[in-house]
Amino acid sequence: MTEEKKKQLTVTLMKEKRTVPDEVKEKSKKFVRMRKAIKASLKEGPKSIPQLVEEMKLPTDVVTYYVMSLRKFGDIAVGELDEDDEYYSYELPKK
Amino acid sequence: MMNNNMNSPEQISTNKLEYDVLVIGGGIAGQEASLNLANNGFKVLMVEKDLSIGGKMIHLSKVFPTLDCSACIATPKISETARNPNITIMTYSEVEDIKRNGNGLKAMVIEKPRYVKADLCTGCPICEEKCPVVVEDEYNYGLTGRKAAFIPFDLASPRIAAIDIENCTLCGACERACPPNAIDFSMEKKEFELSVKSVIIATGFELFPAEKKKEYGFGQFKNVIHSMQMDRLLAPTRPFNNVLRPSDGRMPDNIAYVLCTGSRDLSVGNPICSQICCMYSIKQAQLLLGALPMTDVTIYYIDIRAFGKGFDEFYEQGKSMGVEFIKGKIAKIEEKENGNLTLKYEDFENGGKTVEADHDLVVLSVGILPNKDVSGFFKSEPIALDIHQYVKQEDELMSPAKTSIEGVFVAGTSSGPMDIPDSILSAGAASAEAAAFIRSLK
Ligand SMILES: Cc1cc2nc3c(=O)[nH]c(=O)nc-3n(C[C@H](O)[C@H](O)[C@H](O)COP(=O)(O)OP(=O)(O)OC[C@H]3O[C@@H](n4cnc5c(N)ncnc54)[C@H](O)[C@@H]3O)c2cc1C
Ligand code: SF4
Ligand code: SF4
Repeated sequence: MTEEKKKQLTVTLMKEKRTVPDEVKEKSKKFVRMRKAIKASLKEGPKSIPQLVEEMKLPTDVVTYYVMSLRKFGDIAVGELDEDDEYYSYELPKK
Repeated sequence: MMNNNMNSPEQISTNKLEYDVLVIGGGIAGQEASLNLANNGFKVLMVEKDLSIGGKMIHLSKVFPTLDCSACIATPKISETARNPNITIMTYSEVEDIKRNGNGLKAMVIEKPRYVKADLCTGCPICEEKCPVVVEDEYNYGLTGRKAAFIPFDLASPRIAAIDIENCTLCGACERACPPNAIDFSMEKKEFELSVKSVIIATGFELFPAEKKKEYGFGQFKNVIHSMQMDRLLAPTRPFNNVLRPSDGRMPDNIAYVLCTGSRDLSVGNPICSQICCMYSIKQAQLLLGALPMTDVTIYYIDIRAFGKGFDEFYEQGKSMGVEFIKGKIAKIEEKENGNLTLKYEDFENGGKTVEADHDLVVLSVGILPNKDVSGFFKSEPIALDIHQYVKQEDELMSPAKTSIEGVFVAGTSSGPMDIPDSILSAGAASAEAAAFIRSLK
């Protein structure tokens, strides 16, 4: 990005008017962290939510929320349903 | 994909607006009323509070009792509304202070900034991909997240992005990435002075907040969800890849419905029947048996109100498909360690004794409540509400859309609980009464 375009960014005007609350900064950090961790884990191969939970040592509902959100954003894809018809696996999207 | 609305307020160059009719609310009732009037030559301004028109119907899975796909019916109507040359739509806008003005009415309309220029945004959605903030997605009732730069939902109309400024870190990633330079943080709210001959209120209903029934554990137990969340889980544009438990992503195999959650219940201040919950629950139960054939579905009810055309047959169809109906009142729901739930209920068919049953997902069939925004529209000449706080129909039998204010009419669930066919009928009455009123002014 050129210096000129940077100067033209309207977000700089908003920065003069608004301070970003800490909890918003925290939300952003949390999402970036979770995306990185889930994608890094799925690099090893498809995994189900219980398998991710086991690895990440986080509450199952939190992992479910981020897995479902990442699926919606297209960062991860859905794999197979297990033999017991209980859990799907999730994987990195095939290029 | 739907085209963006061609009659957006970006094309409005003055802050003084003049239309025949102001329609407040862009749900199915508002769209139907607007189209009827527009097709009869009246100029309509539709003011919608949300980022998109469509109301609740655009988010539903299928509709009872025909089981037609809801979005397949709603989308063409939304398109027709957006493209009609006699209809101008202002989304993310609100109406304030409707006052008498000679023979007609005047009002203030406030358009909030979405920080995206409607005429430039192509809905690509690169800003969304770049944005690093995730918050609960209100269009999926919190089941998944959405970004702070976001297209409200797949079928949104207009299908353009918005910036959720409250949750924005002002990192600028969206603005740097937007190909047509549509993002503009310098946008401010705009005020318009509006003159009209008539007003139609079509602001719809609110969902009963399920957390108010503390004994059911909504918000506390992850596998207690409400019926609008289940309709989303069953819709083609669903938030998950199937119907799965929010606690752990497992496919449920024993689902319970709790009818009348927040309806016919003085303890939460809503003594009336919501009229739609029995039928939408039976609809969802049938869809669940189709989507998850190994699943059991049990509906706990006080009584089933299947009074409309084809409704009783729909109920019988549910029973014959294997939906279990238990006449019982749920007193309490408790969570087990594995996320399953124990329902304690008064079993009406066995002398009212307390019985316990385990399920792995519970759906609260929440009732509907009046939209309280309506009173705020009329500060100088308050509009009459009925005892349940819905807009009062002054002459329910002969002129069902008439309100206490001359020239102001009501359509759809703003006047009380009703399903989609009845909302459309009611909108038909409102548009006919508004048209007759305007003609009488000449
Ligand atoms: C879980 C569930 C399932 C259902 N399933 C079915 C079904 O299968 N079949 C069926 O027939 N019915 C069903 N219904 C009922 C159906 O949703 C309603 O009948 C229908 O949506 C009513 O339409 P409406 O236009 O009156 O209201 P709404 O759909 O509520 O639309 C109102 C519109 O007004 C806007 N608005 C609100 N306040 C303002 C304001 N202050 N200013 C401007 N705009 C405003 C809203 O954003 C919205 O766009 C279901 C309802 C629920 C809760
Ligand atoms: S604002 Fe820009 S990047 Fe975002 S959807 Fe619109 S055109 Fe695409
Ligand atoms: S400026 Fe705000 S909306 Fe845009 S990408 Fe950054 S956090 Fe998201």
